[in-house]
Amino acid sequence: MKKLISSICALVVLVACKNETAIPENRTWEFDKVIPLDNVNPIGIAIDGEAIYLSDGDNNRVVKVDANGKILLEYDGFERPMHIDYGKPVAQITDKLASSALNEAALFVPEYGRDSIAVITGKKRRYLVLNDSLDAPAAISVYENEIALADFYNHRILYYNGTEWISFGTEGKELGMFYYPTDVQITKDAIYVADAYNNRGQVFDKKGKVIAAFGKEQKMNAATGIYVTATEIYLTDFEHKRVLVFNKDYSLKQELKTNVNKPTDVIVVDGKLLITDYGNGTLVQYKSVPVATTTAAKE
Amino acid sequence: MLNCKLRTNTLKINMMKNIAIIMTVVVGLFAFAKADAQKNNDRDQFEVQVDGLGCPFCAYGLEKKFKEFKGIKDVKIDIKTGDFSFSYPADKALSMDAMVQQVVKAGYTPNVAKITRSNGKIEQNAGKKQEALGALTAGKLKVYGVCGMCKARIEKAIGDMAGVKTATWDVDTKMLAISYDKTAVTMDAINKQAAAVGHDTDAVKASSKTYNALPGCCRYRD
Repeated sequence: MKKLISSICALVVLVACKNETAIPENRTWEFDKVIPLDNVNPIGIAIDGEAIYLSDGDNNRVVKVDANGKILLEYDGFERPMHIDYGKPVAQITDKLASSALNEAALFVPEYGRDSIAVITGKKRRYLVLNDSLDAPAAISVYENEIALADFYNHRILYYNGTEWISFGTEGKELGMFYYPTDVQITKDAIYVADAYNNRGQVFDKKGKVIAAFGKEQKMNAATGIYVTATEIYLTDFEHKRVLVFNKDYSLKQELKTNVNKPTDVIVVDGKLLITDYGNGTLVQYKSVPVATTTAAKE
Repeated sequence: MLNCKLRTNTLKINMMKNIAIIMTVVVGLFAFAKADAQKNNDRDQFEVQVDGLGCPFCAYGLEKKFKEFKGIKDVKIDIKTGDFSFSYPADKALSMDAMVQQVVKAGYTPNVAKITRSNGKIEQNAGKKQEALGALTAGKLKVYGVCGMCKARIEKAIGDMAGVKTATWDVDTKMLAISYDKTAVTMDAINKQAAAVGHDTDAVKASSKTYNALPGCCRYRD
C-alpha cells in the first residue's frame, strides 16, 4: 500500500514536471549555490519526484543523487550515457530475448557508445525497440506517449508520436538542418533541439516542420543542452561557460554565468534551476526571485 | 566408538572433496590466466596522449570511431589527461605513423605515443628535434578557430615547425603569439602551415577538404 501511495505521489510530481512549469515574467534567476558531486562529470539530468538522476559519461554510469549531491544509487556498465529522461511513454522494450510493452515509468538512457537506448525500471535494464539504426544517440525526451531522440552523427531527430516514428533533419547549416544535435525536448506543441555546432536552438512542429531558430545572435559556441518550461527556454553554451535564458518569443531574457564552467544540461523543478556542470563536476543551482530584489539579470 | 570412526571418515572424505575442488579451481585459473596471457601476447598495446579533449561529445566520438576498426579492443580514453589507449592484433603490424595519422584524421592532436609490441619491443614517436636557433623574433598572427581542440592543433602544427621556438594561441582573441628564427622559417610558411591543418589566417585559407575534415566543434566558419 505504502509503495502504491509513493508511486502515485511520484507520478503526480512527474506529471506536474512534464506539464511545463511556468516561470512568471516578473521573476528572474539568481545564483543560489554549487552542489558538489563525488567524482561525477555530469552530462544529462532527469528528475523523478525528489530523486535526481545524472549521467556520468566519463565513468560510464548513471547516478541517483539527493538534493545535496550525495550519491544514493549507481547504475554502471553503460557506454557513454548522455542526455537522459524519465517517464512512461508508449514503447516496446526488449531484454534481447523477447520484447514487450513498457508498462511502468522508466529512466531512459541513450548510450552514445553503444547506439542504443537503455530503459531502467528498478533493477531491470532493457532496451528500447527501434526499427532504425542510431549513430551515437546523444539525447532522449519522453512526453506522455511521445519519444524523441537526438541522433548525433546522423544529424537528425527521430520522433515517435505515439503511433509511428518519423525522422527529420539532415546535415547542414540552413534552417531545419542540424550540425550534430546534442539534446532534444518535446513539449505539448513542439520539439526543441539543441543544434550543437550550428550554435543555436531550433523549434519544430510535431510533423518535423521547422518553426524557428534562435541563439545565433548570442554567438554561442556549442549548444549542448536544452530545456523548456511554459514560459522560458534554456540553452547551454558549453565553450562560453554560460546558460542563456530565452523568452518564448526567442528574445534573450538572461545570461547565467556565476560558477558555470562547461554546462551540458538544465532542468527546472520547484522554482529552482539546476545546471549540470561538466567542467567543474558539480550541479549549479539558481533560484527564482522577483525582478525587483535582484541584480542577477545584469550578470 | 563406531560413530566416532564414521564421523572421522566422513570428515576425511569431505576434506578430500574440498581439496579436489580447490585443486580444480586453481588449475582452471592457471589455464585461464595462461590463455589470457597467450591472448595478450597476440596483441600490440597502443598509448597516445591527445591534446584538446575538452568536449565529451567529440572525445567519445574519437573512441567510438576507433572501435570501428576490425580487431581493436580495450579502447579507453581519459578526457582529463588526454590518455587514449587500445590494443590491436599483432599480426596486423599497425605502425606508429598509421596510428598517429588515424588520430589526426579523427581531428585530434597526438603528442607522445608509445607502442608495446606483443614481443615486448617498445616504440615511441619522435618529438620535435632540438635545433640550434639564431636570434629569436616575436611575431603575431590571427588564426581562426573556436575551441580547446583548435588550440591544441594550431599550437602543435606551428610549434613543431623547424625554426619555431614557441607558439601560443588565444581562443578569445584568435591571436597566435610566436617566437621564431627569421633565418630558418618565414611568416608565409607559418600561415601556410596553419591552413594546412584546417585553420584560416588572414593571409591563407584552408582548403574546403581540410576544413571539412575538422571535428564539428572546431568548425569556425559562419
